[in-house]
Amino acid sequence: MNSKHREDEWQDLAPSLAKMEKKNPYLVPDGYFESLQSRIEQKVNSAQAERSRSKIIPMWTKYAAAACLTIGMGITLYLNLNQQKPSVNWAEIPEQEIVSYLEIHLDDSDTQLLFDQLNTQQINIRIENINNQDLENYLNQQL
Amino acid sequence: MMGIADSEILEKFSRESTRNEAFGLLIQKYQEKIYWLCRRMVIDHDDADDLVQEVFIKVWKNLDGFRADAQLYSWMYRIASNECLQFLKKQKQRNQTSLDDVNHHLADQYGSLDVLNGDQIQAKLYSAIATLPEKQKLIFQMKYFDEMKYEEISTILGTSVGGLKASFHLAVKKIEEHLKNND
Repeated sequence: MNSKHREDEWQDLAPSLAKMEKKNPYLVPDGYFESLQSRIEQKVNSAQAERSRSKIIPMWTKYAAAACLTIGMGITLYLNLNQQKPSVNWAEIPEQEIVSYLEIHLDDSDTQLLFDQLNTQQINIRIENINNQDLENYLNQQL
Repeated sequence: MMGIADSEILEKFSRESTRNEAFGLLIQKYQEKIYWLCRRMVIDHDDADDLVQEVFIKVWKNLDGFRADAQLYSWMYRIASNECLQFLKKQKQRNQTSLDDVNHHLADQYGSLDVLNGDQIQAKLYSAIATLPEKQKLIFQMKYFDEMKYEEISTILGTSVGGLKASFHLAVKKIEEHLKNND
């Protein structure tokens, strides 16, 4: 876009603004820009010094945190190892509760595992005790 | 403004031995542009002075991670814009007033002409600019004073070109209205 085009655009868009001379009306202290660079550099240097100082503290805190973590893990491990496992007397668990548990948690692979653990004779006995209707119901549900 | 290329500054900055020299060159090249952006936004010289120093400290801290394929000036302008917007937001919170009130306070500052060089017409223009919402004010300044392209402003402010055009036209209309009403 050339400057003539730009002037026309301004003229159409904002005639009062277009008439105005574009100049900087602000007052700035004498020699401001000459000293600005050194003041910025001073600030950067002090920010850097501050940063280096603060870097020392994290090194201490890192080691302290690592030590705390190791001690904490050690205590937890020690307590866990020494904790007595709860003894379970399987005989006291009612049969119905075992059945309910197995109904909820048993899956196909468990069923296979149970079959593998049983000997053939036990299986025969069980199958003989199942009537045809129950067997049919089972097959209807599972297949 | 010095003629040194941004790529040369970045190259020098990447080397530890010439890092300080590069930063000096960067300040020399951009200090006035950044200062004027801040000054027009916050008006008060001392506030603008604080802001321009903050901007360069941030530039120093983050220049290492600057992507060489981006425009250095746009990146610095973005930092400066954010600093100015944050400053005005904090000023609003401190004074428990709305940004409109802050803008009108800034606009009133022109009435005394203390901050300006006594030019009544310019005072009127700057008073009108001060009443604009913050982002609109930034857009207007970048377009009117810095004569930046919409694409450049879009990169700096993260606003679509269409949105910028709409915002700029709105700002110009408001200023025009203000100038007519105060003739």
